[in-house]
Amino acid sequence: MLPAKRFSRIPDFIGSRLLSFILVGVLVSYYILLLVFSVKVHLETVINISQGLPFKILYGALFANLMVCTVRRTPAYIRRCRKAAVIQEDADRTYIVDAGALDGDTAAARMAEFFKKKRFAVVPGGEEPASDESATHGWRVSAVRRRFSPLGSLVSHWGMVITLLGVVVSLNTHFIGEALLPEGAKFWGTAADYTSYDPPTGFRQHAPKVSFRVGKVEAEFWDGKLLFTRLEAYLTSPADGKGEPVPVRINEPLFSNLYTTSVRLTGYGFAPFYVLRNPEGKELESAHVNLAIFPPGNEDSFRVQMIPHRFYVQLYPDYRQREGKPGTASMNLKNPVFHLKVASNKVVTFNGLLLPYQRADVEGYSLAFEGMKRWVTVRVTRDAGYPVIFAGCCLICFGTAWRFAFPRKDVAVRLADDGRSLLVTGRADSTLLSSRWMDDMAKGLENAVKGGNVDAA
Amino acid sequence: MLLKRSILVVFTGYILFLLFSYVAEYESLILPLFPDKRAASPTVSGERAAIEKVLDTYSKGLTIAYAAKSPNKLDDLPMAEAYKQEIITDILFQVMKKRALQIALRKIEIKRLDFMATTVASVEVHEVWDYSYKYDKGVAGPEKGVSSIDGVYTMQKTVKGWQVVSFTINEGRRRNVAG
Repeated sequence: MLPAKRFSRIPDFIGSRLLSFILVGVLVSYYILLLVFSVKVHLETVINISQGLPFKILYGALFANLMVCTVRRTPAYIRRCRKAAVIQEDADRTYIVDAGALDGDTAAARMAEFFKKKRFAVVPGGEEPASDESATHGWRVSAVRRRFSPLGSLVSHWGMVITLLGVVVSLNTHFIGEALLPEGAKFWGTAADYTSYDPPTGFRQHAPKVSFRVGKVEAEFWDGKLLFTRLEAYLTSPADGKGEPVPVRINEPLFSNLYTTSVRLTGYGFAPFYVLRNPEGKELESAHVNLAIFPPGNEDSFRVQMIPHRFYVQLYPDYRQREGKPGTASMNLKNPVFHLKVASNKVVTFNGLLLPYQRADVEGYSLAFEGMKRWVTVRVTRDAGYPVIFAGCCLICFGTAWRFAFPRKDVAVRLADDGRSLLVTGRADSTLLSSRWMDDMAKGLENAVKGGNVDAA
Repeated sequence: MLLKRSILVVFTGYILFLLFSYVAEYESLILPLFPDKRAASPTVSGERAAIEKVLDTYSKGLTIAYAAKSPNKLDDLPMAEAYKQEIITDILFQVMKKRALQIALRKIEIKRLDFMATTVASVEVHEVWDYSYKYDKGVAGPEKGVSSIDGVYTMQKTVKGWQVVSFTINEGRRRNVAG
């Protein structure tokens, strides 16, 4: 039978620093693996790997380590906020200060004044180390500054817990949907409005309640090349509202519902207006069709209702002929020319360039492009975990700053055995802090007890 | 000592990673990292053979259905319903035009085969079809020619096996024409 003590060591190990170092080491090695994979395989596969079982186990272990560590250490952190700390061997330095022939009360009063000026809180008597025999020979004064600074560690640890909880909330509430919307289109946030969404099940539970109408779409390119200098769509919310349109830019999403929902632009393209006519020239059908024909060179296809052919379209927005081949001088819609190919299943029946309003003959019928709209793809994201993660990260930053940039300082002063000298000891919580502060304290105290200028220190 | 421990930790991490991945997601995670191994794996090569067979059946069936001007001939072909409707519309268009489209596959070359998932495949092909129109009596014709096309079949695996979901010609796709 195993001794009970061995079982009690398990929580100790789960919450130990050693385990956290091991887990972080393993995590770093996993990320290095991901980096290696990302060179070799598609991003999608890398994302799949990052959501695989090894990572889930690792994140679970990290969470357990953090939780146990935080819970077990919370009482200790609270205890460390007591009024006066026991300053023993771990004191940064011990100074011997000549106090002259002063009685204890005067020295104590002068020191109290000094500590007050230095913004230390005086703890009369203080706590004495049990092993310190000399403590019984004279009086003792303790002072503390930033008493609650140890709570910074606690705050940052709980910040980490909250961040990880936020990640869990995020994984369970995350919704991401894409919609393709031409100018003038209304988006009601129903499943039918999205071209794709994830997770594929539980739409009602996950999807945000958003509705808007797409107004004008504007795009500008740097030097006519495929580099957006501006992509902007004006949205009016709700879809049937009459409010002022709000611009959404490619690098500036729109946030709502306490930053849990965002709407951002992810794509841009054209929706030509086609007109199909019968052999007598009578219009049979017409519509805008959203095509992925941007950037130039992309080909997309569509079908119409009246004839079975498939129409394959390319667009040259600023048509120029180079060395006898069609091309585009820029991305701007200045001189649009279409390349149209019409196929009846396996047989191509038309293949050529087409100007706007020019008719392509398709086995007696004709098709022309007589207008153009722009469309944008909009990504709607909802994630209730984002504010939680943000709050957790704020707590981590705040706690770390509180603990390390504004550390607790303890100073203890007592009369030495000779009855003339003061033993000054001190400690600070942060190792980042220079020990010079204790030099200053000792000098200041010497001046103070001798009745000198306290501020000189 | 610390260095030894660190190396041990990292090495154990890798072993655990490979172990967990192998157990849980070998097909989807490990195999894509080794394309040669993937191509040679019995599962993938078996699926490729099945897809080739389906495309052969589909092409022959298409020839018969167009020649007979009979959508019923498509019934047993391995095609998704939506795509079958497209072909039926095309056959009926030929009927309306009072002609029969006679097509025969001269050559098919699979240029690339990608499995988007275990049940979805994208097959890039180059096909050469001989075609001619046989018009009904009294109507002028016939035209004939050779259709040499690059295209993409999207295939889906169902309980009955692989079937054609769509076919699109993709000759001009993603060609850079700017500058």
